[in-house]
Amino acid sequence: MEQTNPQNSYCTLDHDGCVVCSDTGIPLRVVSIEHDALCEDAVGNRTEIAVELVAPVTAGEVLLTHGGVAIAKVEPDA
Amino acid sequence: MKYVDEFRNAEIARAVSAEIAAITDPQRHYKLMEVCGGHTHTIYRHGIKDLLPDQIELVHGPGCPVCVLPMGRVDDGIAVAERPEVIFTCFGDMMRVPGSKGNLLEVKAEGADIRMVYSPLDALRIARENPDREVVFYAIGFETTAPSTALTLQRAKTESLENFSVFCNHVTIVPPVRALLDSPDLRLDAFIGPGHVSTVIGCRPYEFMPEDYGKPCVVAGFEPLDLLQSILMLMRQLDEGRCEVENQYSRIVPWEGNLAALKSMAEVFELRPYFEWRGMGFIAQSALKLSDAYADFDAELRYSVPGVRVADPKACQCGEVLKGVLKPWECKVFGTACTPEHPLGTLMVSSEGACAAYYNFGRKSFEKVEVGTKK
Repeated sequence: MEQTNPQNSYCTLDHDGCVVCSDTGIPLRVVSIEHDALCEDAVGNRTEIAVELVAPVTAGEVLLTHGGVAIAKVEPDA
Repeated sequence: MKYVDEFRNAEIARAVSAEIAAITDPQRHYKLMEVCGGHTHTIYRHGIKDLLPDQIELVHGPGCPVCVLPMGRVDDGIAVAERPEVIFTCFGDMMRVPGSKGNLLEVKAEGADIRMVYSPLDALRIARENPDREVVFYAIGFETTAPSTALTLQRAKTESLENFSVFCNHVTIVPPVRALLDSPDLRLDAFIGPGHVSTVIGCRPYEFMPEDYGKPCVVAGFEPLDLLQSILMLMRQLDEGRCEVENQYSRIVPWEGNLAALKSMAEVFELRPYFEWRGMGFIAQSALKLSDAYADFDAELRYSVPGVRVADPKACQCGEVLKGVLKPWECKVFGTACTPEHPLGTLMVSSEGACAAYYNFGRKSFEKVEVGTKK
């Protein structure tokens, strides 16, 4: 993913606000999939994400995540 | 992946701003409401109001799920958290929301085991790691967050986890918006629809706005250009006499929503007949509780709680601000008795509450107004 990351960006896992109050949706790229998906944000942070609600997913796809769960897929050229 | 830079381009912002100004009737006052804490934050943080003609007023509605929680429900959560066998888990801003006798952070300081989590799945992991303790997840949020709680409970059921339960305060977006439209206090012209709630529920639920109330709605993303474009789309509708639901955030939001998420929620939750909203009273079918199939995981059934309705502090005007009747700075105690460091009400606690957002980002433009005049 190519983007700059201003400090405290809402678009990375470094987002420091309340997930719920900001209605945060963080785009994460799928790195690998076992039970959950290992995903990475624009600046290299990684976390496990539950992907049942957007399955099937493949490595390389970008998911919109909220509270550890993928709720949508991001269009490839978005 | 393009996601930030293109949606913060100043040149494009100025161009969109000029288009908005070109179709703004100088003799008319427009009231556009947004109901999403993330939108409130973007508006203040990026100075969106400064890019709009004075005729356009942005009104902030009850879109922050922490802000609409009545004090009595906070007291109920604290009652559960104080139990010695309980590990109480919740999202960040819940820790500082005032109940009638204090907040969760203060209760934690007194020795209760209260832990902040970023996902209900984290609470589930804590339950697996602590089989001798009872883990309770205090669930809040609109339809964006409810699927994560639903999925967590489905996993808990599959694993037959007996030491995990959820105290459910999930709320839904349509009933309070309908209540606002029915309110004689407000005369709104249009709605900026919540972006990520719509990712789950889709755009169809907002069709009642044009059909029943004659108000257009545009579902908006969260970057500055998303909001400016959404405002332009609304102004075009008002200018052209159209009234419909449009989707500005189509790069993320499918018109039909996320059917898997809706199915998960339908299995785990059911609608409460009514629920109290801070500042708005009781609203029918506006919140979720666990369904009978998940009763074993319902913390309200597992533990006894006070269940007392608590009135807000007399000085608190969160209700009027939540409904958009007052601007944050018009509250009697804004910035004086009520600040982010010492909040009286929820709108100053949540970082995306209207008052906190304005306190942190909006006061510069306010300082331009002469003393004794109101903007």
